[in-house]
Amino acid sequence: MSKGVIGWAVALIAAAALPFVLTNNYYLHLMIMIAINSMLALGLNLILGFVGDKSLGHASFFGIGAYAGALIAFATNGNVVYTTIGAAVIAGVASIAIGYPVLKLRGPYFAIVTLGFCLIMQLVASNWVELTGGPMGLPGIPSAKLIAGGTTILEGVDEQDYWYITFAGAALLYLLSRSIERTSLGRILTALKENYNLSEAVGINPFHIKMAAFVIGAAFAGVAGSLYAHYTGFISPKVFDTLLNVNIVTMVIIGGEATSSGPVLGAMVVTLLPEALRFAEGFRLLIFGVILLAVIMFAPKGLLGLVTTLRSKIRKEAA
Amino acid sequence: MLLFQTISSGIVNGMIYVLLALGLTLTFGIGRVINFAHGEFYMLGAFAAYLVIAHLHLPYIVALFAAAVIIGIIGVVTNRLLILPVQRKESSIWAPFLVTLALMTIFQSLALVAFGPDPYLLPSPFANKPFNIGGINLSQQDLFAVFISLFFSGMLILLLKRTNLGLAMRAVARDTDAACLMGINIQAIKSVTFALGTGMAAVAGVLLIPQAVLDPYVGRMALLKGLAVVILGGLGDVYGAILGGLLLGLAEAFGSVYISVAYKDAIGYLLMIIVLLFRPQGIIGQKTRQG
Amino acid sequence: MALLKIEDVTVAFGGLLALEKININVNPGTITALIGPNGAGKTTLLNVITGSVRPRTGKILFEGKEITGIPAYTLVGMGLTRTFQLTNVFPNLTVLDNLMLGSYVFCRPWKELLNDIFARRDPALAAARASVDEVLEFTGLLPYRDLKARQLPYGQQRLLELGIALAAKPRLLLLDEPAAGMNEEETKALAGLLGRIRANKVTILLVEHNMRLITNICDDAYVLVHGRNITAGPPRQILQDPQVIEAYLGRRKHA
Repeated sequence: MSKGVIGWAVALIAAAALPFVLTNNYYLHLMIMIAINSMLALGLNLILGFVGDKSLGHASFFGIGAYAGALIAFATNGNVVYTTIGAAVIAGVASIAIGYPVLKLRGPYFAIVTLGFCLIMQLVASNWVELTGGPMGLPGIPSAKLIAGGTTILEGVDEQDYWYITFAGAALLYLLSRSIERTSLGRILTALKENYNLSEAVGINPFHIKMAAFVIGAAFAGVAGSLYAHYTGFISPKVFDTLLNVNIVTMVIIGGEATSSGPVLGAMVVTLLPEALRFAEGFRLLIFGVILLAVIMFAPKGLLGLVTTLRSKIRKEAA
Repeated sequence: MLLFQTISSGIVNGMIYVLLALGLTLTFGIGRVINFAHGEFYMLGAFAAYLVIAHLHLPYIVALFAAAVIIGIIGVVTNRLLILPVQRKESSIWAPFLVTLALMTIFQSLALVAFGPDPYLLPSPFANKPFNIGGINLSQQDLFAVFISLFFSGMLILLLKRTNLGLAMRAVARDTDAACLMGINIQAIKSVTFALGTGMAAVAGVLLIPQAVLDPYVGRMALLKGLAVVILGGLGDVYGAILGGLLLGLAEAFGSVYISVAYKDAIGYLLMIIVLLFRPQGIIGQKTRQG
Repeated sequence: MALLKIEDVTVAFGGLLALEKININVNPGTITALIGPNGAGKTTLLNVITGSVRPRTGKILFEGKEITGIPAYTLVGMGLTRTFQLTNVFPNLTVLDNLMLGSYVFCRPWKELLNDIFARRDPALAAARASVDEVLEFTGLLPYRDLKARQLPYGQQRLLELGIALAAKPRLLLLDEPAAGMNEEETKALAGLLGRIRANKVTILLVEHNMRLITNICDDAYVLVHGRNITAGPPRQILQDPQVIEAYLGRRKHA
């Protein structure tokens, strides 16, 4: 317990101090993207890591959250409490609509239909011009503000502010995800993956539980989307990018499924690696792909799993 | 007249989608892999044909076959080196799927490095030549694609139903372990399947690209269309792919005329979700197996 | 009144009758056996009771309420749990976690999540823990508490399976061949355990092949052959029935 408290204290101090160490705004931008991607990966991890079915459409809920957050921001002058909660709720409701037919499917059907849903959402965003601005997108989204009694207490202006905001969001979702992991819910989600029939026999309604994981995962993505909309001030149908779907899956796989730390680690790697490979210019995506391939082939449980395996090997040799 | 035009262009597009879907459905049905790099094989096939035409100055038809062979070989090598090894591991049934996701990035960036992001034109003797029957407008390239698509569908059905190789492939599709006990070389069968699947993706690319432009990003839409078709019809079934392709082609044609062109690309997926609500295994598909 | 009443249950797969007009009464506080050769439809009958197979005709009554077609996950909360023919545990979870899942009916997962977030004690979780502790003690699995289920020896895995079913504190327990694959020693221990379960006022319906186990502990037995209930009564009496001997040992030997 005290170890955990110390860990969190160190993490908080490090997060608070970061903008003073990383004075370059570009680096701070990357940190913000890590926080946003962490929220996405934590959300998908609930669906894919715990339930065991691969969703390839998690960007749908990011996009829905971004548009919902942006529209609420216009209406409320960027009240961040309304935008995040509103985006989470709307993304969650959308996930129920698609989850109902989709969650009964298994394996490849689940992956492909979720991907298809994302494509549909992208087309809706491009064509429902009155609401979404069409392909031109929505510019000038109000910045995130904490408003109480009509007066703005805090406002997100620069990268430093948004780092604090997105870090707070990611940290809260991480804690929630940890809580899910260690209470009955986490056990249930693993049980469904381990032995479906027995799960039913002990009283678990698989459909309800899967739906719950799906909705919470989507709500996480909704929060990520709304904060992204505040941060960039501009969104377009590109938020539903197919590549983003693949990237979120990649984060969870690279980091390691079914733990809460894995997705965060994965978000760091997937955000930073392409930047670190900038020197390779045109080859950078190629190298990224090859590294991804190597992880899948040689570390099927992700980097976190690799660390655990190596550690136990070293321990065995020492003994 | 509009009705006939809509129906015929729907069927033409549908048969083209069939071509896209045949390879996908084959690699899923027999190889147990949804090949998310399918679109990339399609794109690489078109580039292979481009190289053959532009640098070797060979005719289009030759380039079509050359592309099929080259990409088929690349497909086999990929399958041997990257997919079969992870399929053998019992632990993660999702590893092959993830490998094809990674391949999607790798092939696309390879093409970007080799050809750059700017569009190319793949010349074809049939391209942009209209073809009129009874007031219905079609292009010669389309008709050629339909002809090839029918040819491949027929050949594939004959191969699966009438040959020993086809019998072995069906045995592997139905029960890998039993097929193995019967002395069938599973890996060889899966390799042949992958060669056929990726080769057909390449053929689809060479046939469809002359109507549009060629760049390293064309694979994505091809993959999305192909997936919609196989899910509509039922994964792993040749007849399902044909039915799914025609259904998608017609639905898109009617949708664009009578509903909205803007949502044309969404129609397939909307249809797919509706179909899956009632028949989770696709219209004539087998029961889903986890994999 | 019977705790479980099976009335006129008929099940057909395609044109094939798997069960034909089955009537069974399981009286409270007893151990009732369901015996018969392989393929007689015993497991199918268990599947009908737990809702995964729909009968063509007939109904199932539990404590006087009709439960035909109600899924297993709902039945657990009503006081009816089951085990499976093949060893069925959560292999990569610890014995403790396996049993915690067994006591899932007591948990209120969403409340528990909220309580965890606000670092409060969860009363439902405490109830589940208490049930699990009881089961650990009762089955003798306490020393294995923190081992993963797959690390247990076979006999202990079967015991764990029983423990999972017990952790929900059922009033009726359906067991599908609990002694399968056990050696004599383990079977004897199982018989003792089943007796103690009955003493705790849990009624048991048991599918089993081991005749000694059945004659030792069961109060009633029903014999199924080819989906039909050919006879019923106290086990010792039934085993002398020529029809039963014929069904088990084959026609030729006793012709």
